[in-house]
Amino acid sequence: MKKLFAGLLAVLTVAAAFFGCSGTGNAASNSAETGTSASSAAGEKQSVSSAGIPTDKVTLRFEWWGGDDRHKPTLNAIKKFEEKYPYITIKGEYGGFSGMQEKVNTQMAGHTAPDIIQLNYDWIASLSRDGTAFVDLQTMKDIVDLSQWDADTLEFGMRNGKLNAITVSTTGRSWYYNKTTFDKVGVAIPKTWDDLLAAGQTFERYNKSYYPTDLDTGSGFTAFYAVMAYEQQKTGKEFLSQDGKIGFTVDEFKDALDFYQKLEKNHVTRTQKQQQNDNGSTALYQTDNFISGKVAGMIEWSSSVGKFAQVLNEKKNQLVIGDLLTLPDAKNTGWFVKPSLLIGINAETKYPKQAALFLNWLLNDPESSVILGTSRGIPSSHSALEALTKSNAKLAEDLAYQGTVQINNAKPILESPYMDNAEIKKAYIAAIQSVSYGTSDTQKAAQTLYDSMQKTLDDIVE
Amino acid sequence: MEHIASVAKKKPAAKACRNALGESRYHGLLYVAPWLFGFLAFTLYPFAASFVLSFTKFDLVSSPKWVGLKNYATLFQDPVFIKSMRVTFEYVALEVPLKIVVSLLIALVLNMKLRGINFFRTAYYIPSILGSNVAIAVLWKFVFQSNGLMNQVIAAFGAQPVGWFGEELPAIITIVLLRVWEFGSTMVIFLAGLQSVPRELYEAASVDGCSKIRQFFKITIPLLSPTIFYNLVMQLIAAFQEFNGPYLITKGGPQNGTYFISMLIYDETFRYYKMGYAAALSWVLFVIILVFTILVFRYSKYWVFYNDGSDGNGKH
Repeated sequence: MKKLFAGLLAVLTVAAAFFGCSGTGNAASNSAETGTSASSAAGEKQSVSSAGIPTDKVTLRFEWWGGDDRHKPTLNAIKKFEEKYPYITIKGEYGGFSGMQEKVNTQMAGHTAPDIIQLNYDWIASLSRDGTAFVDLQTMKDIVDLSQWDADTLEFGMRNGKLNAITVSTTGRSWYYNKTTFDKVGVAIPKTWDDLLAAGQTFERYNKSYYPTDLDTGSGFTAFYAVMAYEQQKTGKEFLSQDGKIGFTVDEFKDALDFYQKLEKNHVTRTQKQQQNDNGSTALYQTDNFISGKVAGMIEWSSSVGKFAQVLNEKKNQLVIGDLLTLPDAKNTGWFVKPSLLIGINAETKYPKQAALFLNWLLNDPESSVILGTSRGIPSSHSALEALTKSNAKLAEDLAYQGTVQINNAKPILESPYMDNAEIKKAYIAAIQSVSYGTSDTQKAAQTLYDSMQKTLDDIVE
Repeated sequence: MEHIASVAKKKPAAKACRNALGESRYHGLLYVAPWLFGFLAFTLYPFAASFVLSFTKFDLVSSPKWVGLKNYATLFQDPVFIKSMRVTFEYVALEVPLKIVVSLLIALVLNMKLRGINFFRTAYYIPSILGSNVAIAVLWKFVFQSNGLMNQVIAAFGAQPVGWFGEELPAIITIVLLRVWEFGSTMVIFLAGLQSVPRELYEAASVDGCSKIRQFFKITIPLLSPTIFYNLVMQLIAAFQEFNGPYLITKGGPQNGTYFISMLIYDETFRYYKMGYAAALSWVLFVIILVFTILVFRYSKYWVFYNDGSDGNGKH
């Protein structure tokens, strides 16, 4: 019995070794693929190929955040890539945005970060101080077709002269509304701040638990974002400059916080206390208030509006885009634009060439673009955008597309890379909350806001 | 006999001294070596490193810069730290007594010899196995949101619904209730303690006409006091370090109302990259827990009664 078992084990081991080793040295899969990606007039035609990339079986890890509307297409895109390049397996690691920064920070610090990482605009400055934490994609020009992006767009991912990550799309927050609810209440989609204030009052008369929009103090700090846009329009100044200088005075901050109070008083948004009571810390698109249409709108990045549209569509409600609210005598647009997200390759990866191959395919390949759709916004890559427009006749109806076009046409203000910094966010949230909860008057809150922002900026601006 | 004894006394160094199994003193060290290595590498070294780091400014990317006592000076003036400490103390003051009382009462009930009692013992233990995870957090949010289960029950009694997450004290209470709901392990320890109380004492007391309640306070509690002491210390230490509840359910709560000290340490470490400051915070928390534990130990001699008449240290 023992001898039989030992013999069987020996046979199995040999068989495993035999079949396992047949993956390497497969001449058939050595066919180098050459592809000249379609490019517009700008930028010379660059030819990239997968020649010179070893065809041994490798597994890469790709990490991203998003909602279901982004996870499913990304997984499909990965499957397609693996069909095309069977010697590369991509393991997807994904979740929501909340907590993602801490996760990536810890992974980078502990040297356990994935090979390809989706990054937020402000993370690169802290993760890659000297620009070497991510592979300099300029050295991968023969695998990643950099000519597909404008120099300005690539600039977002530069750090110390090295291209750390590629901007997938640019985005800004736009106003989106649940048209079904608005029709029910009998209000037109607002075009100006006054329209919004009037809408709030009408909603209140219709039903106390109905609101035209939602301004929160979660990790997206939309309440603060909105009043900053308002104040920028009013003063013509920039809230926070590219090099980390505060543009507003304390009085201007006070004015913005006063305006926030006005929005609350006019039933435009739930108070912060009401939001906490209603939903705790749950994200808006997962709450009953939003899905049932009671909270009839939000301001959201065009690159991630999909998750809101998806939950409403399931209830046969329609999400539409509204105008960027403006003052009649606005001195500038007020509204912001920033790179929505960037994707980079971890400098510690064991397979930079294969990772670059995947990155190029994901962002530039026409097939990938069609699969991904607008789940990461409207792609900045020319070839991807071309493929997307050609394949999707209804692109003009897509909310992400409408949002991106609206922002780009509005001559938006470029968000400072310091605006999203976690410690500075604390100050915005504290300011709005103290005013909403009534624990501070707007003058004191404005002063505290200015002081905390300045203190943090002194620490982090180089 | 005497000859052997004198020979034994003459034996020199420990190296040559072997016991009946042929092992010397150093064999013992070998047996604990794996644990010792783990302790040195994963407990003692980080401990010491964190103490040293608390005197530096360290952002994980560049090397630490010595700043002396600046971190400690900053934290005592930081309003967020002060608020965080205050809400943590509030939480501990509410949770620890409540959990011990609830566990004890339920253990008393489950101690009865009823049919099917084992099923109930298992059933009441299950919540503590579930632990704090995202599923429980979603459940808790559902129960306590403004139109949630709890408010519906309250409304059924005709009372006004409570804004649980919108205000500091109700938000802390939701976290307290979460932890008290997970009373299983504390209850099981009480159950074990109760089972060791001799039945004859109760019988003798009832023969003498002692009421059940008096029996509880005069027999059960004193004999159970070592168990209560143990649970008190363990729960106190755990409560000060509470993180999962506020992190998953209230995210620090309304205006830092449930921003316990462990959450502050987490944010300072993983979101703001201020390792040195976070290390200083951790050591302050350590000292606080240490002080409370020492106080509980010091005063235990007044209310903890050990069966053999000792004071718990074998001294009579």
